[in-house]
Amino acid sequence: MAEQLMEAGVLLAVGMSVVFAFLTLLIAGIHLIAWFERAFPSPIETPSTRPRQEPKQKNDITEVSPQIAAAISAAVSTHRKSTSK
Amino acid sequence: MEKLLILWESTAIPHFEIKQIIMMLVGFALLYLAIVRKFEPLLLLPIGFGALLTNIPLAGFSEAGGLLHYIYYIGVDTGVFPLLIFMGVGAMTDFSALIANPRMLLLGAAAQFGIFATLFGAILLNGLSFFDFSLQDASAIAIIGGADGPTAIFLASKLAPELLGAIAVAAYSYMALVPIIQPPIMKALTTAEERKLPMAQLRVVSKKEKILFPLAVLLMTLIFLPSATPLVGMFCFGNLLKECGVVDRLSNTAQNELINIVTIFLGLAVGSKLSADAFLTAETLGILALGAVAFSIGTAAGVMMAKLMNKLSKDNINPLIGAAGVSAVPMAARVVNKVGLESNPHNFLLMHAMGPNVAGVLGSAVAAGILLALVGP
Repeated sequence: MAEQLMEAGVLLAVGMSVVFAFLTLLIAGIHLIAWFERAFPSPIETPSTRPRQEPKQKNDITEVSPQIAAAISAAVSTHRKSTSK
Repeated sequence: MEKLLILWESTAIPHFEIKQIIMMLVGFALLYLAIVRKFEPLLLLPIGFGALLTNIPLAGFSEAGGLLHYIYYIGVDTGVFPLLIFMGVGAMTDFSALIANPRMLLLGAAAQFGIFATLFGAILLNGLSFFDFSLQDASAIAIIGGADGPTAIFLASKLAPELLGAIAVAAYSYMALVPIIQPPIMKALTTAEERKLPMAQLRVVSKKEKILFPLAVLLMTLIFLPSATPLVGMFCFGNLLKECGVVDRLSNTAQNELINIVTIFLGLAVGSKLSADAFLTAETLGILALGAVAFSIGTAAGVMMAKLMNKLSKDNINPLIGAAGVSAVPMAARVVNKVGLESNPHNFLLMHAMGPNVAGVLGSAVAAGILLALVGP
């Protein structure tokens, strides 16, 4: 019993120290990443916003891109002109 | 007459034992909590139904050859299901609040005090004559304080499979009870002034940082704490799927279809462990009590750490967000937000609490890794 309690006490001390040490190291890691980001401010930033929007448009079948809409309306109007004559 | 007797023998009625009936009532109670009270329904419903199935006499769901036996053997005994869930959770987690304010990791670390203190408490309980927890049992029970279901199931399946049913039920019940357990502790440990503290707006986090973060976590884990790599590795994998932006299909599967399928089987498998022999013991009561203690100590430790950090740092840190350090994503963060709004209706702490909240997930995975390394088989 006393032996087990000792062991549990050691686990308490070691466990908390390792958790804190590990996560503190991770803080340093995040700062390193942030520093890296500031040192090399990626040209990714502009393209990074684009690909995020694109898949949304692809998923949305009901939405038609403006170019296609323009092409369709042009085709319709020429068709109407040709049939009305 | 003889035929009638055989027919009577083949019904369940003469085979029911009182213990099985009690366990079926426990199953119904879990179903009630899930359906009527909406307590973690995604897990408590399959667990409750699994408990019903496993206690049906003659059906043998959980004996060799039975469905639940194989589901448990394949998914929980091997540790596969909790890890797949962890991948899905990773794919659903947004780390930007943590990357913007990395100090929040300290709150996630402090809240793990609940785990290790409870480990101590479980061994102390051995002083009472009707408990006999080994160090492995105590560790598996203590991880309930990590407030993370998959982590608790994973560790219990490795360290104390015979206690798994009770541990999983306790872990998910207390996660559902976060809005009841945490606020009194948070209010007792903070002053009204502290609860009103506003926090500075978080900076924007770039995509590159979000991609590098899971890789950095994985790298550190495999160097310093390889025993935590099953949990942390799957978590980071799921998160990378989400953040890299090139495999949206995989990311969607991980955070929707796959996690749903695995949740069904995991719940049933855990329910199959709610058999009368394993559950109707003094240990179960001990586990439920210790789980609540673990949870409360974790919350208190997080809040106290946040108070300390607030004293030491230039920027305001609202001590309430420390309570979110006990993972239980996103419930704990929502509770923090709610308690904060009660003191100051213009102070939205949700985003600030998400930092310690996801840090708590990492923290409890790391704690599980430490326990596996130190007391594991």
